[in-house]
Amino acid sequence: MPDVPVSRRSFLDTLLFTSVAAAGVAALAPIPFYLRPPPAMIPPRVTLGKASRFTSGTFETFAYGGRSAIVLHDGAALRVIDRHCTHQGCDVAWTPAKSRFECPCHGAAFAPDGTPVQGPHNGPLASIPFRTTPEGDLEVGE
Amino acid sequence: MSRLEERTGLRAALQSLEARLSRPLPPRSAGVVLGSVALFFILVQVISGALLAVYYVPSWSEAHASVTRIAKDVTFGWLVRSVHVWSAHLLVATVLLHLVRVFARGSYAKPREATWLAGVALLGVLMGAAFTGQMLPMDDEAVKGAEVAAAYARETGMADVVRGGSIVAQPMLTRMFAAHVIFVPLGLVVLVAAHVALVARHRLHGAEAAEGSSPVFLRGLGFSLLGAAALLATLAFVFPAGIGPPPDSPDAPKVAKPLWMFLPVYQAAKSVSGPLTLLLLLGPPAFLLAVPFLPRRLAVPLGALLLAVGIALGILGAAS
Repeated sequence: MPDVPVSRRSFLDTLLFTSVAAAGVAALAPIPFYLRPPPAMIPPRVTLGKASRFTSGTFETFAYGGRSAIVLHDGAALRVIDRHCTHQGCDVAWTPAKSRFECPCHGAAFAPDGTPVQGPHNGPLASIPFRTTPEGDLEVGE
Repeated sequence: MSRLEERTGLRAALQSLEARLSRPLPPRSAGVVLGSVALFFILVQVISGALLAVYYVPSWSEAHASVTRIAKDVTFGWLVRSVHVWSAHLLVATVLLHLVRVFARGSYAKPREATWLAGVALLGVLMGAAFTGQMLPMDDEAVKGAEVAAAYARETGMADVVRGGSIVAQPMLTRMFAAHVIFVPLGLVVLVAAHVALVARHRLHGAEAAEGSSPVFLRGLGFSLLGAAALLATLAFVFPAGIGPPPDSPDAPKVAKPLWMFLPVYQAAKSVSGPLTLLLLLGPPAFLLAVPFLPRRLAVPLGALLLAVGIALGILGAAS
């Protein structure tokens, strides 16, 4: 690399403006961490007993994160659904005879997986993640 | 010409900005960076404020808990809040110093009257931002402060407008929140744009005499921004912003004092009532708006008197 003469002034200027830029970048670094919600705001996991007791056709409501949720085996799969209707927020109820969720307020209906099938709604019912622990317990939550 | 440049003119715009900022400063004018430092703090306020709005709940019963959650649970939440609070103090202090400096130098004279007026309006918006922002955490001090503000407003017949109803309750918090996060930023955008455009149009006071002299504005800006950022970071890390107890809790202080910038009015209002309160509240802003149109031999003594009385009342108010 050829020697390019650099004056003291332009060297110090580069140093100064690089420092300003570095300080700016450093100041923004915490933002991605800040935006991730703290554990206290994520509802704790709930254990609902042995997963094996949920056989085809069984369902059970339970409290989750200040809301009401429902665990259900519709014959095809186990599902955990938030009962909060996406229309106006009433709690939907499981209607075994029609094999769907029905909202008592404005008549919306949702398939067992939460997909809207009729009536006013703003998207599907929320599914809540769940897993079966190595001990065979059904554990609901992130 | 690159494709990007052809479509945006970004490089040409940056070069023209750099050329403008690289002009020499007038002699003895290091203080000219105060305006730029204030603008830096405004940017910090906008970013940190937007981040706080992610978690804040503007509800009478939940606001205090949501601010506590930001301070205690959210990662770096204490830092974001601390930066917002300290930057607010530094911003108002910087703007007041800027105002005193410009006043002392007479830089508001023709043709810069409009620049001055936009600056005074900015100060008003920032004081409003400080006041409305102080209420949002809904700690004991905030609620007492809201009661006091409503009492002042009653003297001017504006109590219902300030409270959004006949008592200090949720509607007032909703108004303060809307003012703080919507009206204040909108006002800042308009007024900052006007103020900066006017400074660019008329150039700095004394710039004609500065040709060829040093230092350039850009370098002063770089040093002052580093200094301002270092001061802000030090204060935010060493003295994290606290939050008072919820309203009416047993460990709450009996008297609530306003923010330091309102102490002169707080102190003076102790000895006046009725229509005089109106004069007290509207006198200083009216004087500041009149400054460019007053003869200088009248404006200087009046301004000096106002500043001296303001500082004296502020100290008395802080000590009381």
